[in-house]
Amino acid sequence: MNILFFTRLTSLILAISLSLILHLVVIYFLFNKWDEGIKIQKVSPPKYLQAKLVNLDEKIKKKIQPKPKPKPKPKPKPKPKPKKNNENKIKHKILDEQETKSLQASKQLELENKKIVSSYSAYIIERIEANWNRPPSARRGMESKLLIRLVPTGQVISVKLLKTSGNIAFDRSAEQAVYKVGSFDKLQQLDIQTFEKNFRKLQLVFKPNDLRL
Amino acid sequence: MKKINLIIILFAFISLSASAELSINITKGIDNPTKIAIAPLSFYGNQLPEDTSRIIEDNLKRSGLFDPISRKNMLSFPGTIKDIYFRDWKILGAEYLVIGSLILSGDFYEITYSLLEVHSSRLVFTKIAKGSKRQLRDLSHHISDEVYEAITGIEGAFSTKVAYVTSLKSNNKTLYKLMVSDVDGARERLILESNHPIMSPSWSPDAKELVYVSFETGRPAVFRQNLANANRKQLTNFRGLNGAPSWSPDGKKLALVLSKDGNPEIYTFDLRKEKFIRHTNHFAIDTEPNWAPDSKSLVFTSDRGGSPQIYRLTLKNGEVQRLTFRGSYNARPRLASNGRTLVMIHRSAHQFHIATQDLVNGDLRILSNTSLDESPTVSPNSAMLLYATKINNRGVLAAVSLDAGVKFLLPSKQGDVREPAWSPK
Repeated sequence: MNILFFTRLTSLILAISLSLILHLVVIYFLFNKWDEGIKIQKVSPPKYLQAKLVNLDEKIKKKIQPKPKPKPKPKPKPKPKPKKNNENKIKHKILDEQETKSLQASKQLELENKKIVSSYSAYIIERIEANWNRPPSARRGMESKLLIRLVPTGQVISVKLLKTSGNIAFDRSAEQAVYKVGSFDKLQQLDIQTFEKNFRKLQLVFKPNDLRL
Repeated sequence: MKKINLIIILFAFISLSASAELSINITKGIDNPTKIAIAPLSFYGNQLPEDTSRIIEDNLKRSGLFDPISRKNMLSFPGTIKDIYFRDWKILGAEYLVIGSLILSGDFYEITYSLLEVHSSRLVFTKIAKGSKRQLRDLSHHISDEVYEAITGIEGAFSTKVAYVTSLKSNNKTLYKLMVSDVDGARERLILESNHPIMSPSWSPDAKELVYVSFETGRPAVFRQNLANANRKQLTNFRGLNGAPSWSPDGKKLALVLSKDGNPEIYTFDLRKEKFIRHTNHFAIDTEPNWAPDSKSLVFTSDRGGSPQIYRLTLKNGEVQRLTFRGSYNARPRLASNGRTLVMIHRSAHQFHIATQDLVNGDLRILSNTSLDESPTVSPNSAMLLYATKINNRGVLAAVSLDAGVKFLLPSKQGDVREPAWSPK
């Protein structure tokens, strides 16, 4: 019995260590890729600027203005400090400033990105709502969830019911609304990264709140 | 430290992949009639006695929930699924398509029919309906029910019947007829003919019998009649008022009004034991009882509060509760089979209209725009109601959907039509 147990244990340890090694390899691979991914994001800003011009001209101007504002704030602080501190520390401070700047820039980018995503989401909502013909058995509180897949032309290539409302006619009306739209043409204006990241796969939650009952 | 970093990255990766999809909420929509195309039935042989597809089309149109596409605009008449070019139907704006083919096997018709979604090119169902040569209309109504239910999520009521009373004056005499027909008015059938008034027909829950009030004995009396063999039986013969019978949904009892003790009161009549039980005792008039779907309570009209209003009576304990409070006249209550919608006659601005009151949230809605409306009766699926009204001084039946989206008049052939009663399923 003991021998049997021992052999089992060794085989278990072997399997675990093997899987651990494999995992580590995968993680290391991921780690490298991760780094590259971040670098790509840093390169992308000009592309986003182009995208902005399409949709939100006024808002961009407003957003460019706040950039200089953060600069004067850190400046008064370093001025008294250099007299007392070493050059090294000054260098550190400058590096910190650069880092915060790039952080702010990426935050702003993220914000811009969110704006774009939400404005195109609003477009998708508008198209579907105009085509969603609810059955008379639809009631407030019903909810069905769909997963739709799109291609960069905006065309719907698949519709899948993720969660049923419990009313087949209601579920069908939701699916029909997407099929009726057929193609979200305006998504063609998006740059490919934003599309891939947000609109390739979409979850749609159909939850009426404008019904009488 | 490195290990910890790796773990963090791993977690970050996992959480990132979990929230990959953007989720969008759709909270509004439109509620237009559904565009549907019903292609003519394909068959070989002689002309059919009924245009099945036309009957289906008319049924769906009258429900107010569908907008059928005119047959003359159709580009093709597919009989089987492989003959369908969905593009053709998309051009016409159809959301759904019904196709079918009929074969005659012996003395039976067999219709194979399919419902399809046009935009997704998907099949919803293919079904077979069988019936004798005389049942082509029944088959059409059955197909209508199936299509209606698949798209709306509500059971169809096209296979049901309506009972009503017609009266025709000639040579100072009035001829009364109790009739039964399909809900679309077709296949009218005479049940009883009399020179004395006939009133208040009410269906048995199995739709095989009717109870009604007839004056043929010289005073009002309640009769029960079997539709298949015309066997009839007099149930009441009391002095005074014998009226407004209503068959309980469980089939065991009638509710009715008797004034044998001096004043109109609500009674129930046990059909098996043939026994009357008195349920109200008030010096005011209590009348027009109608059952709740569970057969445990009644709604009725009473003027015990000074004006006619609707009350609910719980049979177990005799408790009476007032239901209507708006307006000075609410009468002739009918409870829809959903148990929630109370249909009644409501007077506003000196005119009598059909109105509904939601018993849960209290919403009152006026459904009819004609005046002098009376005798509302609700379809078994609680989607439509029929009522009697006067157009050009002539009694006709009108229909309205409970959400008031669609209204139409049922043509009457001759004379006045009154007191409609929609059959159960």
